[in-house]
Amino acid sequence: MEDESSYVTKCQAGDTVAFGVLYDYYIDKIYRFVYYKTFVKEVAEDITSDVFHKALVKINSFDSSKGVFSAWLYRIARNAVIDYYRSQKFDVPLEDVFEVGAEDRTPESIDALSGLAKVTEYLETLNAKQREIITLRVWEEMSYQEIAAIVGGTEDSVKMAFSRGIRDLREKCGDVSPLTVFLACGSVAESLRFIDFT
Amino acid sequence: MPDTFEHMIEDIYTLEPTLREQDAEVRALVSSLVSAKPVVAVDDTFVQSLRRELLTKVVPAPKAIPSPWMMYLAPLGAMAVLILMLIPGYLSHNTVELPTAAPEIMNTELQMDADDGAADMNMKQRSADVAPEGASMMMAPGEESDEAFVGDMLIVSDQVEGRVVEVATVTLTAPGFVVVQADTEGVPGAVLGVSPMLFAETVDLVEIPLTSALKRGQTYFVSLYHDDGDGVFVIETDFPVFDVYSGAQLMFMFGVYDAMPQ
Repeated sequence: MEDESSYVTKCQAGDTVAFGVLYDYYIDKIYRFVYYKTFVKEVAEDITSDVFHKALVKINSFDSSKGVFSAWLYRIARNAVIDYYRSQKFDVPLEDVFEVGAEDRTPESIDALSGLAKVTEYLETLNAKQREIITLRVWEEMSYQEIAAIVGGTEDSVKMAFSRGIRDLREKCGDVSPLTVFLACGSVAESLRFIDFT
Repeated sequence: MPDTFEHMIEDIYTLEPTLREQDAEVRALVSSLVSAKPVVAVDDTFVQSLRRELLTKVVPAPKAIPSPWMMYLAPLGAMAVLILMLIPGYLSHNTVELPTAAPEIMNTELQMDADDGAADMNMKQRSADVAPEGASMMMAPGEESDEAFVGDMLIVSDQVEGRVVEVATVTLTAPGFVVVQADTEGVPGAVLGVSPMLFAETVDLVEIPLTSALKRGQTYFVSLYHDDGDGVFVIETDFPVFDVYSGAQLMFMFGVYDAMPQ
């Protein structure tokens, strides 16, 4: 975002209009980021609301010498998702709650459902970090540098994790033809729910 | 998008050269992932309602932004105060004669003071042995430091193959350790190396010897732990450090090359 740092500085000086500018720029991005981890509209809205409330309250704690505002905001969002599932007391290792609530999942509890896609099985076999990095790179089109700032790592370690994830996915897809993978991926938005933690 | 897609493909082949032989399948896979991106429509009612709620919220007291004039006047003022403090000492030194010989009793008292001073020096030296020069003091309740508070912090870059991890900068707010762990399915696994116990301070270039060598193309995790008081790192009982801003565990992932990346 152009002149982002100046808006952040104004926010820290108490300028709520400047916060509104930042909000307008990031609301869609943060909502999508949260939605890709929850796939439930109401949950995504609750968490997104929590993220921006926290950002507003903590804005004075942001230090531009320690990183960029976007990475700071996404880290708040990432942690808000973790906090949400911890508050639900899911009895699964938090490193990977891909299957959280799967047994209770009904067609009504998911925004759109049309059967599990083959690709869901493939993505399930990846580790949580690989899934998160692939999502941010492929769906959010974030740079490796941006992803690294969010997940905590060097840019090159993120590249490695992404490449290895694609390699693993390719191995698991086996001899599935590109068309089959395409059709399977087409329904991933309707049935896939994965929550990635480290 | 096509540019991003091609960059993704090339990045994959740079790190996984064997996949280049399966170019068609890899391109189809990545293309499919891109196509599977969920179409997310953010509810505008939600957006506007949240916006109103946030902008009418009482925000914390703003950070004071010093005016430009203050930035120039403040140092001048400080110099003036310093000069005023030094003038009386300078004047007294030049106009008052100090006694050249002290009474015997006073000599004894001075000797005792000197001894006390030496004892104090010894204690300070012992403190220095325990807390290296530059160590920030642990804060007693109510004490303030002249230094701005800096939370725990870790700066690390990608490493080269070898049996040592070099961490660029470590800041600890309490005595603790820097820990290197293997990457096991995307989460920290076996502990490969632990730094000597560090004190509440900022240290540059911390070297951590490893029990097994870093491997090219692999990723690893480095994190901070506060000591539980026994001076020995035990992962089950020492305290993982959390980032003060996000609340997440302070942890960093790095990669390994056979030569430093450009």
